[in-house]
Amino acid sequence: MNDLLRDTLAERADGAEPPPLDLDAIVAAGNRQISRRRALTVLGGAVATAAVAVGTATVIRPHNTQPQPARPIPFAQRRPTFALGNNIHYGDDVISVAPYKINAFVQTDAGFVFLDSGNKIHIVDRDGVRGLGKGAWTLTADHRGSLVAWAEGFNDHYESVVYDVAADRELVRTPVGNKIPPNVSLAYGPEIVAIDGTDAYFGTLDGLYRWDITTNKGELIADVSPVAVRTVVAGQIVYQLPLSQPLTGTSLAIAKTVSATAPARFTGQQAFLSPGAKYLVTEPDDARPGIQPLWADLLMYDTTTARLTRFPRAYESMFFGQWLDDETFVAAGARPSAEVDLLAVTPRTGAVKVAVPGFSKLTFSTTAPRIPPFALPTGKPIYDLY
Amino acid sequence: MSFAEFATSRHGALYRYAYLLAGDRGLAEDLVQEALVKTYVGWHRLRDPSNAEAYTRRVITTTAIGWWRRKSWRAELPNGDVPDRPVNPDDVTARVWLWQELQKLPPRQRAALVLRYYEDLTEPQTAEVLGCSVGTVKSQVSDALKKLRTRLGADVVLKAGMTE
Repeated sequence: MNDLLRDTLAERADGAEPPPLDLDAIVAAGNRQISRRRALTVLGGAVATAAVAVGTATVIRPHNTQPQPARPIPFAQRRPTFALGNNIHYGDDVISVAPYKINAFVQTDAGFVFLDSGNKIHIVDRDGVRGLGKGAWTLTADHRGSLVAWAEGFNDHYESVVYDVAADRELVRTPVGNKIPPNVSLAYGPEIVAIDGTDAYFGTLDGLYRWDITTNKGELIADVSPVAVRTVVAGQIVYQLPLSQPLTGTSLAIAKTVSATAPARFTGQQAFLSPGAKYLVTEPDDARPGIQPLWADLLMYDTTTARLTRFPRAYESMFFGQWLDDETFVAAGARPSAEVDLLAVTPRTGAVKVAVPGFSKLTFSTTAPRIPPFALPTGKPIYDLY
Repeated sequence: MSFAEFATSRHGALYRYAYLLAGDRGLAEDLVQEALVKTYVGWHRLRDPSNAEAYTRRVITTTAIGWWRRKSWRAELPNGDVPDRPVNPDDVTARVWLWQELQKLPPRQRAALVLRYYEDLTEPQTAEVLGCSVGTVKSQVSDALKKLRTRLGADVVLKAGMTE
């Protein structure tokens, strides 16, 4: 034999192309460990004394060899944030990711995750930029927490991935529901619909999966197209109606389960539900050819009363950015001069405040992908089809 | 040799070793990253840099076994393309089947097979990486092969001679 075993191992090893080595990240993590050890050494005497005092009440935890977050949640606060070129403007802080250009990004409590101009995934936090050696079209993150997710494409299937930025490791990677049938051209690829607490929602080719991140197990909860469900927040699922017509579905329903008979109470295509599911921001027009997403007419709904508040028409194009909390979200508004303002909006009152005036221009590169100089933390790039 | 030179030159080999242990590219990447960080931290204590690779492999192995014990990666290995039984032991189907069966072995047994039949380490060298006795290595390899033989069937060729 031995040949079969040797051949099998050699074949698998040969087929495992190593990802790029991120030496900077290794050295940075190593230096953090060294610093912690030095600090612990200095504190050792005091800690030992305290341990004796509380010894009977202390549970000794097993040593955890998995990567641990180096510092407590440095980016937990949501501030008016945008990316411009190779800088992320996080409130008053400017975080450089040079030489990479940011096409799309999301915020997690542990750092920002972005796609560069080649759709490669990178993380940037207080220790700098590190590439993951992976690629994706879009990124998805929760309103809180350190998780980010994406769908990764291969020749014959996609894989749904959930990554913990704080721990620097993948928590979920599964091809479930995403086998591409032979000789098929997909109208819509798989997407990660949402991360909602400890559940991730995968919009797969087979339908919508709810995936328990803690147990790494999932279940198919709706036989719908990968893009039929827009988002899930606080257990509330936002999905299009009619369910079977992704190109013409222009109404949205919110419910605990996906149902074709649910009442459609909201107008819109894109949907951004506030962290407590209190308000829903939608955009009704983005099925039109043109700049995508074309959020030129943001609508704001109170989800309990379905009361509609329209956005002031001072801007020609509107782009949703991020919920700061359950009462305020950030958007970008392009004026007729193409100057873009960053706005803070309060749906309850309809109040709009300019947070950063004229931070960029709504102009597009002349070669594909035609994207503007700026990006907002939705995980998706803004682009122009023409 | 500096740490950077070591990491750059041996990263590929370490990643392949980790992949054979973990059976998953993402986990292999995590394992190598974790092990290289530990090697970097202990670099000044590795009096002979030529020991660095053995040390890093040992960290990969023990970390992998530890993660496995905490069941942190057991779920969802893709197996949709695996046939019920290998048809021809010489063709690629047999290797696909064997690879799947290797994933089901306990981590120490799988590590022992990888070290012996991929890395071509001797039994004493394998014992050093696994942190156990030579006798334990022999029994781990023997038990692993017995399981594979049972699962794969007699015509799929894991002969007793494999143990040496």
